[in-house]
Amino acid sequence: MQNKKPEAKRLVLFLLLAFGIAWIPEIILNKTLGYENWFQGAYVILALPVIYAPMLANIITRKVTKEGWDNTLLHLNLKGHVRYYALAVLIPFVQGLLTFITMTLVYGRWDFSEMTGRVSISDYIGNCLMMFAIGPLFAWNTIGEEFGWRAYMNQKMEPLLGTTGTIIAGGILWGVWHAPLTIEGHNFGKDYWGYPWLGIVTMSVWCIAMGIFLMWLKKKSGSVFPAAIMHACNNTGVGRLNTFFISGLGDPAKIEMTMKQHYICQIPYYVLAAAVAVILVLDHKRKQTAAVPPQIEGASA
Amino acid sequence: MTGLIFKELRMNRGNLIVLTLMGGPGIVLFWLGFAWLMTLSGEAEMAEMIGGFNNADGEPPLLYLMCAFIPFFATGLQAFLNISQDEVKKWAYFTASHPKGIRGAIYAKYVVTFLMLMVAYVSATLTAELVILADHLLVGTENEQLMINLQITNLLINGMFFFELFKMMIDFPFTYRFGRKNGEHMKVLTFAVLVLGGLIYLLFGPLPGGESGDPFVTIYDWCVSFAEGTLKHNIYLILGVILWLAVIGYYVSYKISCKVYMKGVEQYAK
Repeated sequence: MQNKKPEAKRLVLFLLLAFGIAWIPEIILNKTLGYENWFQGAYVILALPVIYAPMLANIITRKVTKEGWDNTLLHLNLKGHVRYYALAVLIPFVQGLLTFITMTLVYGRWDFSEMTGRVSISDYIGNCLMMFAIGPLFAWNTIGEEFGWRAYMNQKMEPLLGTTGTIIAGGILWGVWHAPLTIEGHNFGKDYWGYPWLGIVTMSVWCIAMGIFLMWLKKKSGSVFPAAIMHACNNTGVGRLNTFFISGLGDPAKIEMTMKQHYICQIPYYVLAAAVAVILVLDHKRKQTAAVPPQIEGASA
Repeated sequence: MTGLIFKELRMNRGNLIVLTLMGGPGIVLFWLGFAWLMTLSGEAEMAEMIGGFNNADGEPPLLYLMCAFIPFFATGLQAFLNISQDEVKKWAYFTASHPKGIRGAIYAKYVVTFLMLMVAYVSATLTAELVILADHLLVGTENEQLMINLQITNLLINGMFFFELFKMMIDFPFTYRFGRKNGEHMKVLTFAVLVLGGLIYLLFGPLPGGESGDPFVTIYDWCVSFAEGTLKHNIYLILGVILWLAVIGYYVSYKISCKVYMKGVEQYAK
């Protein structure tokens, strides 16, 4: 039986560090240089410590609490798990596919000639092939987050809160961690009802859904790298390749989704995420049942 | 497997550190130092000396292009040294008798070489980010132009990554089969043919654009068109297929290297 108290202490320390290392420079940089300059401008190199904050938190927590280096999940584990690396690239693509097809069906009108008139099928396939190859390279950037959230927080949280609790609480924490950026207009801009709180809530909902896939990939592959690759493919816009499927709404490059549109268009993706969450919960229960030794009939205590 | 990869990392730690520190940031420091010295000698203004930073008057941002190319050329050399550093018969026979065998040893080499390439990739990307910071602070280039320059540089960095992967995919089986010395001959011969073919094309073939006559300007203009998505003639599809040929080819190259390894051992000098 795992002792829960020291694990909980480690988790709290990890969270304090992950938030502190990221938020303090973020707030200072937002105030001094401005979000446009440091996150998307000349000072972009200063974003490095921020995006690596969860990784640093993992390393420092392990050092401070003398936990050791077990379960770092830094093995590639390629043998027998290549399909999870492939899925890591394909899941953000499917997310984009579901989102933009829904957008066309709900808000636009299906017109294949408009789609192919804008981008030829050959160019669309070419762009997909290129992004599938290039997207994973940006995992150097997202490994900083995944080595913290998936390779540490999830592992500590699951024995304490269960799988469902980890999915929800982990997703909310991850979403709130982005708050200093969300407040500055990252992802959703500033021009929406309920700014900035609705933005933070929406980011958390998004993080819960994405966290489910990342957790599933991590568990299935036994490695943090597929999760980092999926996160990288999400950030580099593998899903946005499927703006190809937008029609009846004008130039896709100029479309800015409202919050309402965001929620409606993501419904299929959230349903898919919920299905994977059920699989995760059932898998966890199956493992727990298998771990309990079978009772021998007639045996007395 | 972990042990073999650990051994490769131990043996190549110097190379990895050099790649990280000197591959990219080294270029920036060298350039800035050079510009500073020229300013001290009164030959030019600082902003003029580092004029290569921005692409004013249609000039390509030379320093951006440099940080995309140099780390990868350095990696190409180091990867070749990594592959050929175990060229000793005794070690080769020990490798063959190891539980993980030849496959394990070659797998570790391919993984660590890929890691070197990733280090060069990260180093090049960070250097580009350092360059835009210097460009902004010293020359005063605006964010909009900086982001375009960064986007173009990232395109080139990605291109160089897959070019190196493609080169290694061809290079390594030759090195394993014929040994370092003969492998080098094969490599020189292959590249001589490629360079000759390239020269013939440059002399007589149809060149894209070709208005400026400056290859750097042509590359830069091509990258701008690529980023804008205005290239025609199925270029995106062709490039997409080439990238995947490099990725799949790297795996096939590993399989071929495993097959030819023992034949190559007989070629070792000692």
